[in-house]
Amino acid sequence: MLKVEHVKTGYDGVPVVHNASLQVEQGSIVALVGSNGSGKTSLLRAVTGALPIMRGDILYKGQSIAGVKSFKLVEMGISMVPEGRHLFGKMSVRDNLLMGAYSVRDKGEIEKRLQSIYKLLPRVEERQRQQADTLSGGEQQMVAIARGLMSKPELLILDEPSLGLMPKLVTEIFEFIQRIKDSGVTVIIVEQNAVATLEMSDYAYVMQNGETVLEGTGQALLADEQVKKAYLGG
Amino acid sequence: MSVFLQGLYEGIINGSILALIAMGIALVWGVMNILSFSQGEFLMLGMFVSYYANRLLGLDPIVAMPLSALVLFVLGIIIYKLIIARALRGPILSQRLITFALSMVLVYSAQLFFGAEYKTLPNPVKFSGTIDLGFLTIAKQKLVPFLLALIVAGLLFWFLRYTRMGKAIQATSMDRYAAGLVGINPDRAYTISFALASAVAGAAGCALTYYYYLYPNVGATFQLWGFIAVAMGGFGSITGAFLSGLLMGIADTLTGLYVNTAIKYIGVCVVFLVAVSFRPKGIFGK
Repeated sequence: MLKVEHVKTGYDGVPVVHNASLQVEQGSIVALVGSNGSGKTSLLRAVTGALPIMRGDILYKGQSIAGVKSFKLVEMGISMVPEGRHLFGKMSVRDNLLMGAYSVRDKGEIEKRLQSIYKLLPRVEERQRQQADTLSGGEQQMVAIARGLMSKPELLILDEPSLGLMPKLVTEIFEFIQRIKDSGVTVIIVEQNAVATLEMSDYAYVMQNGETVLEGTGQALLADEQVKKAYLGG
Repeated sequence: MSVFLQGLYEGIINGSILALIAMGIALVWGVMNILSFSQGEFLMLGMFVSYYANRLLGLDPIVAMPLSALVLFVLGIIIYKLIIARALRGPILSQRLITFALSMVLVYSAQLFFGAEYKTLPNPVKFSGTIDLGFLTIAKQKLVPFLLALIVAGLLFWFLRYTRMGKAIQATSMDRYAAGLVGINPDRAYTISFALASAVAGAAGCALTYYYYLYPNVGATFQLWGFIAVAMGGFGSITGAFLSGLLMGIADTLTGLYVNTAIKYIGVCVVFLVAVSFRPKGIFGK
């Protein structure tokens, strides 16, 4: 579904990611793990059009999306939930979700999606009138993911969804992501929380110094001595 | 009492133009963090549209107003695409000063093309005369800026709150990056905001020609007071800009009426200083 081929990208002409390649099959969860500063987020930003591709290519359903702006990718079926949530703080939870369906014009369809989100996340419905920046971190993360789902993406990209959340909420978020996958959405997830992420994912890539250095099924990487040593505190 | 009421009314009229300028500045600042120093020049261009519509076609400013708003809207789009969008990619200083340079270009272009002399509408306007309420005499043409300010404030409020584009503009102003991620084209939201602000100034310029002379540099004073209104109302708050504009007009006129016209601007400054002493971020500032 998505193919990243030898991508080099960075900020202001300074490369951060030197050579990253990965492949995402439809209907799977693919994880991208690695230490801080290994280039995971930058790679995602390149995929979603926020950073220029200096070399290599990114293919989505066989078509190059290198340099395509993020608002266009939404219409193509790619949705990204950024690190730090980036909710529209002064808007209500409901309005945030509605903005997620900005590319949809059919009001009935929007309402239908809203109701299906509420069914999935009753807590979000309870809070729908509340201003988004008054929610707790966990609730904000749920709303951010829900907003990302409102465009009914085929590919959902999650950047550090568990960052700054307490363990109980992390479990909740991961369960939620699992349910999203079960509903047929392909998921790419970047996480520091490597063990839980690898356990959940079908396939995973390890990034180091701006390169994808290892890959394998989640289980295989969990068992890998090198990975254990470097990222799992083993 | 009747003198006071008359003064209050005149003040509101004078303030209406400031309110219109200020709302445009507040919109542009609120959405894209650009200080629009060229708002006064858009007002000036609106006045010239009104002038030529009157001279060539014999139109009343009130009839020329939609035309003026449209011309300035289109000009706003062109200026945004050609100049502002590029400056936004540059260093912060050029973002701050670009509209200042633009205002100079517009003033001197107007001087080149329209001449520097003072002008008033050459053909008589049909919408004129007075309404005498006994305690208040209302010059009909002076009602135009006030009604326009009310309508524009109402429309802007409605547009930003209830339309798809308006919501997109609000979302972009809160978080440009996130706006892109949900499928909004942030650049389009910026373009529309900038063009709207300049259209508002264009319509205001039209209204102003009913009772004010025009010349290339006419925007400077209104621009300055418009800025003060925005600072007093709270940067980025359109409601604040609207009310502060009116308040400043009232302070201006009443000081002139009861103290001395020579120091009427001091009255405005005192109101401003008192307001920001108690509310340093402006009356509606957050």
